[in-house]
Formats: sequence, C-alpha cells, structure tokens
Amino acid sequence: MKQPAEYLDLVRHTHAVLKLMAEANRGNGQAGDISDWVVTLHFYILCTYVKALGSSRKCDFRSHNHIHAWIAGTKDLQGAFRSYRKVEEWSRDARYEGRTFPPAEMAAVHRWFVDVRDQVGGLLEAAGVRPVPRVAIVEA
Amino acid sequence: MVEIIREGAAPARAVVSGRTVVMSRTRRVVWETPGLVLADQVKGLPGVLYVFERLDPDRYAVFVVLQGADESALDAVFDAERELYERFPAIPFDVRVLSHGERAGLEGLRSSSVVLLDRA
Repeated sequence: MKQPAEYLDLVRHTHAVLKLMAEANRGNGQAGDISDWVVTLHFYILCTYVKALGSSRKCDFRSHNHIHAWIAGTKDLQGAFRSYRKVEEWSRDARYEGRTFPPAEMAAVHRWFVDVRDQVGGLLEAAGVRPVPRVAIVEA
Repeated sequence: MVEIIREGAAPARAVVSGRTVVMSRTRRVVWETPGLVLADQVKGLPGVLYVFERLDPDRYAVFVVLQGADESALDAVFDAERELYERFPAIPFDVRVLSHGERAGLEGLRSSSVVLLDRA
C-alpha cells in the first residue's frame, strides 16, 4: 500500500494532465467536446484523494466498488457519499455511454468535486497528513 | 397423516405414522436482494424509469435508469444505495445509476436482467 503522500502526488499528476488536456483543446479552438474526459479525470482525482485517506487509516482498496462501499460505511465520510457517487456515475456514463456534459452539468460536477475534495482534505489534515493539495477545478 | 402438535418459539413436533418427529421451527422466509430493496425505495421518485437486477458471477448488479431526474432524486437514489451497505454487509453488489434514460442500452439490460421496476 502506498503512503498518503504518494497518493497526493498522484492527485497533482492527474490534475496536471487534466489541465494540459483542457488547455490543448482550448488552444485548438475548442476542437472537440472533451467534457466526458474532464468529468472522468475529476473523478479519478477524487478517487485518489479517498485512497490517500484510506491509506492513512491502513485501508487498501481492491476496486471502485470497494472504495464507495467504504465511504458509505465510514461515519466521518458518509457526508461525501452523495457527491462522490454522482461524479462517479457520471464519469461511468462518460466512459461507457459516450455522455458529454453541457455547462450546467459541468457546474454541478464542479460543485460535487469541491464538496468531496474539501471533506476528504479536511480529514487528511486532521490525520496529520500535510500538505494536502486542494487542486482547482478545470473547465472543459 | 401429519399432525402438527406445536409450533412457535420451540421446535414444532409432528406425529408421523405413530412416531413423533421434531421439526425445525416454522419461520417466515423473506427473500430480498439489494435490487428488490432499492427498487422499493426509489419507486416513487420522479425521473426513475427502471430498476434492473442480475446476478453476475461475483455480485448482484443493480441498474437504476433515470430520465430527467433532478438532483434531489439523484440524492435520494444514492441515499438508498448507502443504506444497502448497512443492510447487506456480506453480499457483494454494485449499483449503476444510468442518467441517460432511453439511450442507456436498455435492450441489453432487458435481455440480461430481471426487471424490478418499470415506470416507462
């Protein structure tokens, strides 16, 4: 199992990739609707934040299902379950059903992202993990 | 002839051809799965079209298909899902919430799953 700091490095890395992708698309005159992958990478970042928290509590996860079941059953994290699952299911819609997201839906994803990021980030800091990056949302 | 002598808290006994046989306690068996419970929880929510369930090799796969559900309905679906983890701690299941309505590959779901709720 990786250490929390290693997962947080992965958060920074995935966020950097997300920014590169969005900037490249904008530099290309918004050549395509990449909202599907923007949602997906936001979800992967949240997933990695949760893995960092799990690592701080000696929990190792085997699957996405295991992660959201853990959130559901962890008292101080249950408040993040709704937002986490909404981003997760929309990212599954994106990857497997070809769904893209208009600006109003992207705004909802960003709101859910910030909710989970801040709840998990606060718990990581309470566990003594520092620094915890609060990576910014990225527009599609 | 079988005559039930007693049933209730203690094991029931029956007289079968002159011999007394102790039977296991009579009890009501309730068959429930994550999908059945979830379908019951979400059946009244606006925007919930279908609930399907199938038994995959390693888990129950539950599919909730939405069309035009607002965020409060989404929240209610996920609240119901969260409660399933307490109700079925030892049964593996996966809930997939498809917000794509009629574009959600319904034919494949219909052919591979049990329809637990159909409000279309």
